[in-house]
Amino acid sequence: MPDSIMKTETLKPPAPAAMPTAAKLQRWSMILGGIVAALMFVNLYNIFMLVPTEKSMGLIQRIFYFHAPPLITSFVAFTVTFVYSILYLAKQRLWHDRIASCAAEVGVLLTTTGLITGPIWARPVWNTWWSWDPRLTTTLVLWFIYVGYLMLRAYAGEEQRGARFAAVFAIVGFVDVPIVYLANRLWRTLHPQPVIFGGSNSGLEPTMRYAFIFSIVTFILLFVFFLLMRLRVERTRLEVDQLKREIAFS
Amino acid sequence: MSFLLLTLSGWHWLLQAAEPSSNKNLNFLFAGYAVVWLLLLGYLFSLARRQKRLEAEIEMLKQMKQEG
Repeated sequence: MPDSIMKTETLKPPAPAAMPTAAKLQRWSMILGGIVAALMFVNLYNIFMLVPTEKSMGLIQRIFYFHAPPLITSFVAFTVTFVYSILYLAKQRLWHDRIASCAAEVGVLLTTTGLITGPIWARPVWNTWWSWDPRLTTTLVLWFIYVGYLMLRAYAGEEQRGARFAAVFAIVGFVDVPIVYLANRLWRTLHPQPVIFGGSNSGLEPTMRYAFIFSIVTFILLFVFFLLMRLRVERTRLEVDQLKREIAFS
Repeated sequence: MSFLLLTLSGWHWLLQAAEPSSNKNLNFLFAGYAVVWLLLLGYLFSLARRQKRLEAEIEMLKQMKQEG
């Protein structure tokens, strides 16, 4: 294929009809932002005022409601990245690639919060900041995989080739998500056993379960809010690129 | 900011309600929540800053296009 044709294909702008406008993304993110703010107030009330104090760990156990939900939500984020990476490879739509990368960015943020709150909780309870047990190690590997994905996106150079490499990387990297989920079910770990879907000996006191599920829902909606905000930035960036092209060719 | 205040007031309430022996752990609890809020709000501000910068760039490019 001649060089000039390849360049034209690389510079081809995405079809506007396939993408929401920045204004539409802003409207939806503002609505969702209001809902998330209200839910977060209720969430904090649940955590600090409603739930009973756990007997063996005491007050520090309340960090659980801001530790596990972001990590569970990061699984949702990486699933979005996985699905949209497959869609990008199948349909070659730039917007699918952008959704995949934006979801990964928010997913890394949520995994980071889980990886920081975990050691803060572990220090007074386990008497150590970190243990190389399967659950913690696979979670750290997950974080490295998606940081690697974002670095690949940033430094891959040519846009479509970078997007293709990143999509393959995201699909392969997603293998670690079920491994993290199953780690404390398959292996003996220092990390507590699952409290939901964990078998006959697991479970939570009803108020704690309500607060936990409420926190998960709040963090999932927070993820959608961040995703919309991040997509708006990406949509505006595409407009900037489009204007630059128009100026360059006029 | 309101969330930070609510977290702080919740922490203060726990501090008053807690036995002295568990006060040490409250510092860990406070640190955990503070880190989460700093990360989330930091990300929100970074998105707002990126958006503002791009919108300013669009205005500049539109002006260049009109002039040019």
